Amino acid sequence: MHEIEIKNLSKSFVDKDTKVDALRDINITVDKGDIFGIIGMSGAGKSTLIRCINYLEKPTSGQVIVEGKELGQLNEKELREQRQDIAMIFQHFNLLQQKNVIDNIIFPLVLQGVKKKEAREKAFELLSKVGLEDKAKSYPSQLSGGQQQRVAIARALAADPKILLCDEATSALDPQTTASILTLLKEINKEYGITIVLITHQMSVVKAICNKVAVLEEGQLIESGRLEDVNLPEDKFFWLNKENELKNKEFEKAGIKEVRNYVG
Amino acid sequence: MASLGIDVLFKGTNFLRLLQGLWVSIEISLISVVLSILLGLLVGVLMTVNNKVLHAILKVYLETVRIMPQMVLLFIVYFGTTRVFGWDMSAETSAIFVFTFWGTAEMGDLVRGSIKSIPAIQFESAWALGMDKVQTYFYIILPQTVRRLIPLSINLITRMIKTTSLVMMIGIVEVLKVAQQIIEANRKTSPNAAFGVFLVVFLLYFIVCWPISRLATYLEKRWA
Repeated sequence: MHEIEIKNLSKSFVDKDTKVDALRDINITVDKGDIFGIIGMSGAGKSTLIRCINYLEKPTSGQVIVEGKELGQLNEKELREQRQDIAMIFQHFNLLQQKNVIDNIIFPLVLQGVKKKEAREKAFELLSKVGLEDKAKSYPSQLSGGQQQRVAIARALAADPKILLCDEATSALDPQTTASILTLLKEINKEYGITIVLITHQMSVVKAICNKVAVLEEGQLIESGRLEDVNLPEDKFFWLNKENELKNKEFEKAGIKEVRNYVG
Repeated sequence: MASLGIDVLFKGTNFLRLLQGLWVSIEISLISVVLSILLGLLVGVLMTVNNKVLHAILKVYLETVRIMPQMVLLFIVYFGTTRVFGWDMSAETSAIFVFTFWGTAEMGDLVRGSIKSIPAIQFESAWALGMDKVQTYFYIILPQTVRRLIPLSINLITRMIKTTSLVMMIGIVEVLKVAQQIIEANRKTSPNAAFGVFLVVFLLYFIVCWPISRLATYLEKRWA
């Protein structure tokens, strides 16, 4: 049995009269213990795809099967329970600003009915795992971006998930911090056997930790498979450059001279 | 220097009368503000609901309040309804009605804006953590909404308190009216009273509004 199976998934958004196909006929399988990278330009549908895996986004057609359960068949309560197995972290961390680190971690647990004492023990264990045991009483605003993402990872792990979804989790971080977060993710993957699905537009992220990769372009899967079998462009900034190219084309159409996004 | 005319306030029960007038102002504004906040929260949530009919009704309501001067509303409700519908509303009831009608609309719009300004990702992160809709609203969205609401609603509240001075136009004897009466009654003996008495009225309004504004600053800092 595959850990995650995405079958013929399509998603379109209807806005007034225009219909946008965000994803078209996607088929992906992720196995237990994989670190699965989804890479593509912004607008390619990466975010929509990863949101379909925990049904934050409901597919227009197709199936998402997680641990043998088809998410589309679950009612709201069952879906919520299933989501506790599918943790997620985000680009901008989304911690509660008015709660300190330890309370941020135990909050979802307590809402699920775990005893406060137990939750705290669990939280401290996870804090030392992510290397922030001395920051338990700090508030998110007192932490750096990398530290906040570590807290978010600890919070995500608190409910003992089987899967961790990373939505551009390192895109707001500098290269060194990115590397340290990636190392942490790899450790978590090894130590707890948690399957990780991440989306990114940075090739370096995929090459650093993924064992499988899927390339998404304009809502379609153009390649997927084991990292070594997939043809990835040599250019480190392939997608970024491509984005710039497209942007400049649009600018030309609009009669604006080239606007450069400086890279690296 | 000529007399400031404050001395009239110490004649007889003048100062006490002024305070009684102030209490009338405070009473009307306090009741209206509390009602406006409660109803405004409800109206604000309704404004975010996706329903065209509801949307249209609330839009007309909000625009009416925006366009109509409060004084015109007071006149319509107090003088107008008596003749046309035969309603016998006291001036105080009319005033509270008008101020609540106004406050609810503006408060509702502030609540709507605050809810809309919470990024969708906040809902998503809560759901991704396995929270249900009620938990998400109660623990994640509403606390953030209230925080954003504080500075905005304080402006509205102090504005409502100040605008209660209009109610003397429908015959309510509040602080400003009392002040006028005192000045008129002493025109002969202290012709300068206008300056001193209105200065005291200014101070009284200040004393009422300033703590509210301090409270807002305190809450904003604490919740920052």
